[in-house]
Amino acid sequence: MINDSEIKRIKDELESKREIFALNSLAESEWNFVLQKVRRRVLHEKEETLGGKIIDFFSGIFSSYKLSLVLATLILLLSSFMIYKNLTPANTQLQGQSNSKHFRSAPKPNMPGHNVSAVKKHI
Amino acid sequence: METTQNNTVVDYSVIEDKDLIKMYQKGDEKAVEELFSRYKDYIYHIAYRFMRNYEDSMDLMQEVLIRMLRGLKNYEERSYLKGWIYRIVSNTSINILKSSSKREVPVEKAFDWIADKRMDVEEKLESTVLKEKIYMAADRLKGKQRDIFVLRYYENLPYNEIANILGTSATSAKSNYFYALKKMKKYLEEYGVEL
Repeated sequence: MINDSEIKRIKDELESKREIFALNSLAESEWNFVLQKVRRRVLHEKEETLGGKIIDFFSGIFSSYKLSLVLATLILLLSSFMIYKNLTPANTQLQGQSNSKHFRSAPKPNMPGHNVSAVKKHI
Repeated sequence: METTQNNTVVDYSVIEDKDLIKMYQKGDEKAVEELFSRYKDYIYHIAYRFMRNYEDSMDLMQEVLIRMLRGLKNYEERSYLKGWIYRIVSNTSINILKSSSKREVPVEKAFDWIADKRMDVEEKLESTVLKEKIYMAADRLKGKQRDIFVLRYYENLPYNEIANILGTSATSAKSNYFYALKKMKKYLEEYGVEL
């Protein structure tokens, strides 16, 4: 059984060694690093989408996170615009001279554009 | 000093914690950054006591800040903020340590002071070994005794502050600290340290 004076002695003995556990404050640069990482993680959690992935990609190339964000936003806006443009009524109708491969119908046999001789040769 | 969207200048440093929390709940991100910076050393020090090395403490710190961000959205001023933060750090560290073997300090990290020629190597080796033994013994303490030991021994906080953090009385904190010391003596003797 340890009595009070014994505990006090242990306390004093242990506490005399406390200084080896002293820690410094975080430096401003270390703190900014942590904050930056937290900000990024929060954004990632919010945008686990294509946008988030694009930001990630640019963050790997550029050191500036803001620049990556701007570029990713521009790309997203541009791709949204392209999609919108392709879905407008004028482009959704099949056109004979359309440049869009997706909307061009394949030439049918006995129709202009269908190379019958080439098919025969192949057979 | 920060300028908000409506061009009003706000000095966040003079705003009380509870008001910063309310501002964050209304969407002011700068308010929560100010709150974080007030507690950054507190979080880092407690994190270090659990992880025992710089890199893991920094990782834990990030995890704690993320959890705080989530928690502060619905935070109600019922508990002492430092106590709430302590519980987040403690619970998060327990989860991390359970899911990995991070507790072991890499040998090269524990002895990196050897490269410093200004140090008295023998003396430093002795104190590093003792430090590790105290950490190991303290790791064996459980529940409130462990928490009180961390806050009292490592952080040197007064009993009434510890009582506020852990939601207990100062008398209880004091008696738990003495029980913890008693166990520490026993554990340290097992590691060959005589007190």
